[in-house]
Amino acid sequence: MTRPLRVLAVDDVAPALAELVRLLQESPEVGAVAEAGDPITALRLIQAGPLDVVFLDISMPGMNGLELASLLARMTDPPVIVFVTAYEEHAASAYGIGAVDYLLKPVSAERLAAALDRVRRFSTPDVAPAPAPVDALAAVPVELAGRTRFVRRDDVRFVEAQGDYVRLHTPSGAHLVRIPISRLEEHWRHAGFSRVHRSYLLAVSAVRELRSDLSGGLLAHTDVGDVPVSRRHARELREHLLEAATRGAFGSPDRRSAR
Amino acid sequence: MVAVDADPAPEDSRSRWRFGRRGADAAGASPAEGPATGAAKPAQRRRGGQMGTLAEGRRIAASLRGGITGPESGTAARGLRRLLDAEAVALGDLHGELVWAGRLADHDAVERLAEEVLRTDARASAAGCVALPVHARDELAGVLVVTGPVPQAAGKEAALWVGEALERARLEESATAAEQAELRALRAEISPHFVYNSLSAIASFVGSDPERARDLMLDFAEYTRHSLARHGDYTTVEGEFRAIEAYLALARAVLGERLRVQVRIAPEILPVALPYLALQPLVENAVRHGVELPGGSGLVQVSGEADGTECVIAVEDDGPGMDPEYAAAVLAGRASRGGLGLVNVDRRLRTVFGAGYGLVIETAEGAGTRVLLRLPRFQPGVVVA
Repeated sequence: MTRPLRVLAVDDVAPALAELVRLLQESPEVGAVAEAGDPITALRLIQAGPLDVVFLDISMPGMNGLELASLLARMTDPPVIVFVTAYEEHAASAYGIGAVDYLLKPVSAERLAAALDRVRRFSTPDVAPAPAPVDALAAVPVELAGRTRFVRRDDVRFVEAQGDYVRLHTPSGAHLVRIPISRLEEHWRHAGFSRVHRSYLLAVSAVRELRSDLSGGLLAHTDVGDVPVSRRHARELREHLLEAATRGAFGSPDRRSAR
Repeated sequence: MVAVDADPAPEDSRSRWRFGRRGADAAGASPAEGPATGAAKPAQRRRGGQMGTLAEGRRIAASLRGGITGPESGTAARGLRRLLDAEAVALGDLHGELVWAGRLADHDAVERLAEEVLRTDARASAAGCVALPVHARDELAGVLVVTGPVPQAAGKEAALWVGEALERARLEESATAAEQAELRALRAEISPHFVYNSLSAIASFVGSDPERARDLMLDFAEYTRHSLARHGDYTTVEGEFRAIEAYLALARAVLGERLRVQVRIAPEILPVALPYLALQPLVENAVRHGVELPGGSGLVQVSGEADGTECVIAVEDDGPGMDPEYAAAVLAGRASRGGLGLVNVDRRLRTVFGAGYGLVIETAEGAGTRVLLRLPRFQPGVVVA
């Protein structure tokens, strides 16, 4: 298990700060949460102790969050920055300063969890899996009727966790493989796979349709079945889909015949 | 009546408009012209006679679209010089900037003359040089300076022509601005009805189900953020669908079990650009007409898919439907009640994408309503900020 994150929350609006601190304290990956109601107190706390991440409001009197962040960027080992703000228009400059993420107020627990995932990836690179030979899992060996054959990653539409095993769903059928889904996610994330649910890993380019059912739950429809998308991962999947579609990853414009 | 140049160059004489009060005089002056072409090539223009003159006048007016000293006013000055057969023609704006064609023998004298006209709003002349005020909409808009042996009436007529061209350019500009303003004004507003219903629903959950109240509050923030967005005129289908889902979560809280919704969207259309709130009002409409009416069984279906170079979005409800003629009246803005959201979306889509991209309503009494919206997947100039 990795070490809990040391976090500082900065906001000059007291209720907003209290809410952010409460959400952070409820997050399993967060340890100690310090809070600051103004930029000067924030600077003092940052200099006093080692911190992993600062959640920073942008519009504050005296020194705004962007200015504070550019000061931090000059430190030798600065904490990771996540901006929290009410307005979208700061996003470009926020990423320009090197923020890891950008949260809009009011912050949802799901969105905060996604931000903490990103922070974890940025702040503790040494925890990442040993750099296995690139694309070690571009094909996965499976046992089929006593014989070993390989399932190509490109053929996998989605992965379903089943205990210590995963089921790889491909057009030619589903194959059971003994590997934790989180491990596969680490290897396949760079190849266009997105974790959309505790138990599902989805090839973004395999999505034919996003469906929300009667109760408001979200499903990603692929040609080998539907994959549930948890509320927590919905936004990230949409971002990945938007990015893939902008790239033209969904091939020919008219694929109605595929349905 | 007809002004005649003191020393017309023979090869130019036929193409020269003889400025006068009546065009007929000039027409009579060149009876032996070949068929008028009005084409733009200089060689043809010479043979084109009056039509060539007309074309020259049109070009001058077009070059003045950017203002009397705008980016193309040099072209206008050259055209005027050809028409007037002047040694030089200068155009000046109210700030004293001059653009000219031909050789200005005494640049300082021309500037002084132009300044005098701007100061006095009256004709001024000195040493073979005439400066005339140019008026647009009865206001001083600049100055025209002509040097060389140009008849007074011709110069005067040229100043009137320039003034009218400027006036038309201003009208065109304000028409474009008005269209932009209308587009912004047409941007659908949040319905107060929906805002208060949502807030009431949230208030009711604060005590009984605080988690749900919190989630709904976040949906409300998402919905209003999208509706109040003021940066840029366009969003993506993705952005619009996010707002729709927030809206539907709130509508579910307000209407409870009566509302059933299915949304299906193909990922390839997510990046398509469209005006803000082009879809959301259609969904709101479907919910209102399909569910809020008594007896409505309340299934609302929203789908979006690619179709060649276009994408098709359909919003369908299984409510009471309507007489197709009434639907046509709604789109034409003739309906007595309601439908304002649809008209609004229809007009904005037509303004942005062209007349062929309005809404299509498929409906009949007792058969539900289906509103179809077609969008080009790529439209020059329609870009998400």
